[in-house]
Amino acid sequence: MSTSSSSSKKIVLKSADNETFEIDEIVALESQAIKNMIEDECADNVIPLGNIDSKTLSKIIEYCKKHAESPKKDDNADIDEKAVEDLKSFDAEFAKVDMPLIQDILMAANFLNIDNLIGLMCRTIADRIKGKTPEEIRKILNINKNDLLSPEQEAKAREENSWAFD
Amino acid sequence: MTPWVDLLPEILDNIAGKLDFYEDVINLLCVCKTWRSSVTITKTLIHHLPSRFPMLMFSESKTPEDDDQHYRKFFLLSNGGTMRELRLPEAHQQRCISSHGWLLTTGEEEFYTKLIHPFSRTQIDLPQLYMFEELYFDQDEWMYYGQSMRKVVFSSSNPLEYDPSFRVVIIWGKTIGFCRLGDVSWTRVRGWEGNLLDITYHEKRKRLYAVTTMGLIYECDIINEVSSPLSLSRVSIFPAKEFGYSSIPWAYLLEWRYDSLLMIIRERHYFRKRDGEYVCYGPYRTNKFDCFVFNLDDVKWSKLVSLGDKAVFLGFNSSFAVDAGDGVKADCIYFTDDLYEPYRDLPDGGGGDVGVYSMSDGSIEAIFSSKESVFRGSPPLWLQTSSLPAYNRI
Repeated sequence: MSTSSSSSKKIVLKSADNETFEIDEIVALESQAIKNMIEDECADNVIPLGNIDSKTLSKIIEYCKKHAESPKKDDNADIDEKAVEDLKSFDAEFAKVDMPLIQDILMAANFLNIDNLIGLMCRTIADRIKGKTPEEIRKILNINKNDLLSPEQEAKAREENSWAFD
Repeated sequence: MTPWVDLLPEILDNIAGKLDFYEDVINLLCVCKTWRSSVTITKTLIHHLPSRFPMLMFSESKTPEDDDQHYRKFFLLSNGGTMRELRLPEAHQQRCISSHGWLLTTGEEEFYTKLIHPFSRTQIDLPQLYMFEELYFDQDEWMYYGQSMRKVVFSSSNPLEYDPSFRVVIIWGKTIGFCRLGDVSWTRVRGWEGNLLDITYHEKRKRLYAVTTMGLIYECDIINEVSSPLSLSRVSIFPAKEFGYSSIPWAYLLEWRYDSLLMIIRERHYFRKRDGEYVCYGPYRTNKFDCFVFNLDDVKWSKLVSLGDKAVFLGFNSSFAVDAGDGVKADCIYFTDDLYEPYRDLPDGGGGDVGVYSMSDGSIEAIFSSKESVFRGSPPLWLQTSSLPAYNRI
């Protein structure tokens, strides 16, 4: 076998709704969880992902593909700035989705252990809730109202956290 | 789909860690009970975070317990006027003035000055005040001068950027001086008539501007000029009569858009003494502000009736304007008390002339009950939201 064939080894991911995605192994390795499975040789050719639907999974593959193709920082100390900018604008575009999908991607990224993607989704959520009141944040995230703090508890939370800790 | 409330604590912490302002983390905590109890890193992180809007730093508390801990209270304009407390022993019994969210402190009987960032508690030593050349005072004058650090302005917002053109400029008593970080002495600036009222640094024009009584406006290039002492040159005189003023009681100066300065005149009403006691608050009360724009290109003055969507902050801080928003009202002037002489003989000191002036209807609203924060040393003080100095976020 030539080296090129090993680099283009394929992995198949299967979503909760039984859709299959064939991807290069190098793309799958963006996920620390899949990487561990492959290294421990406990992965068949088809990896079932019973808690991730196909819509979410295809977004995640799109992300991993782009990031796998981009030069890594530790590969080359002076990677060209254009690649960094390119990846940044990809991330910005990638995050322009609605809140339910962001949550699905975040949960899936957490399950698959894709650090950069977790960070990107958390950053996106942070950007959308900054400058907002608790009530507005609940609306943005569609949080139901049976777990709210009473006005007294809210006042206490504000008070308590006004103290400095050394 | 997992409900949001069941987000893993480490993910919530990740989100909280990406918020830049104190209020944002507090609001996140208050979304629901589960989040309130599961966010863990905020307590170590939160006191480093700046507030989204300017904060009012109160005078030092007079109760002994607080004194031991050296906490200072800060009043937040956003979040419905929440109080915030920070441990700040560096500012204990120091006279404080502010610029860009930094405090400049001077000790009562010593001549050192320092910059302190209240969140990170980063300190930067500035030249000692007796390093003003040709400055000699007898003991009484020194005492007077110790309390008369009136104003500090920066040439750019962040001293920690190690920008070689960064300058700190102060009005100390009747003296203007400036220094670079690391200088051993202050360089004096001279050459004005009348009493100094305010100075400002116009970042676009890269010039220091000063206003004195009679409305004289001066400028000086403190970065490229090398002569010592430097001399101010006169740019304009405010046409007071044209605008119905016979004299200028008190004025502030700040950068206003790229080509102008904003001069704000403050009028105070002085109470008459009744049975040796002042009626309330102290010997005077601010009753009016007027705003004038000075265009630096065509050197023309015009009256400004509205600040638009901006709010202006005046006092012992370097005068500044911010965009209005949550808790900060548009077209208003937020002011604190910045006279110290009338209070010198009052037992508790003063500093109660604090409020919000509405440009549209001339009304003045209280920010808090002024008697809570009278001062002997350092009065309530506005702190601008600072661009954060470098520190390691978790």
